Amino acid sequence: MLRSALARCSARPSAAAARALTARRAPISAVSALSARFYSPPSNLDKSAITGRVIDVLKTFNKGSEVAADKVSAASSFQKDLGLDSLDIVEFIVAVEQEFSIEIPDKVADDLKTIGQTVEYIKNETDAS
Amino acid sequence: MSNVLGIGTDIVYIPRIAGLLQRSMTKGDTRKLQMVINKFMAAPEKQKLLKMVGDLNDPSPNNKATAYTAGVWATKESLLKALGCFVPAGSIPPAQTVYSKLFYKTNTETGRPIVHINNKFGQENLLYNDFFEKYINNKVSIDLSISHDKDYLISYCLIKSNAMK
Repeated sequence: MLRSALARCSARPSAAAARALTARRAPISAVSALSARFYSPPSNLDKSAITGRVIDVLKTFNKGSEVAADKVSAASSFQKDLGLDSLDIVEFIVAVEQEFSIEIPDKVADDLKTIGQTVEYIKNETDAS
Repeated sequence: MSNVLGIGTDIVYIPRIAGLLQRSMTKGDTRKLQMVINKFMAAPEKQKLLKMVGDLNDPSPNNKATAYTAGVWATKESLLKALGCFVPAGSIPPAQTVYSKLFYKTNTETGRPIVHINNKFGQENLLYNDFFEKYINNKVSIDLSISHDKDYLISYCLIKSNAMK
């Protein structure tokens, strides 16, 4: 089914565009449908490991003085507690995607307002590694 | 009776953008940069930026790639704010979708910035087709103005209804 869908798609601009189109529409897996994985089980990482790595990501690009280690917790809100604005959050989302080898859809990115929510998402909704 | 629907503005500290580009670039490898610009640039804007290879390999606050990126970011932010003036919050697509799929910025020959609406947005993003048809498609026109002075860039946008009395 996938191959015929791709064959139909490649009548359009290019195979690469068709792959991108198919991958973006894949409802379940964040990974491209071409990898032949049709279901992504929840991540095997545990929450504290994820939280630690998310906080490390924050530190690598953060404005520096704002993130005092004792102030950062799962409840920390990016905007209210950590003083991040929308540009920081774009960079943060990309850094998280790279760190965990996942892709975060636009709708989800909009809704992630705290460290805790980000960790939950990574744990439950992705096959992060 | 005014046909103004919304206004939006944004100010950007250009060295921040230079820092973002520096952190996203390794010489010759644009993958991380692409991930970043995918979040807020539409295809024509990405193409334009990626052509500025020389500047990208050395993104100082003073070069064209940095200024261009800052301008695009500020434009997208102002547009989102202007949308918020007349579109109910629950109906606006996610921010990154608006930034990267709905609008894109170009310049006229005289350098004046203009905003284009992606006419196929509704077809390409069926989930937001209702929003597009109700509020945007053939319904609005957009004016944009940008200014910069040393380390700061500011954008201002105004969305007007096409329905003239």
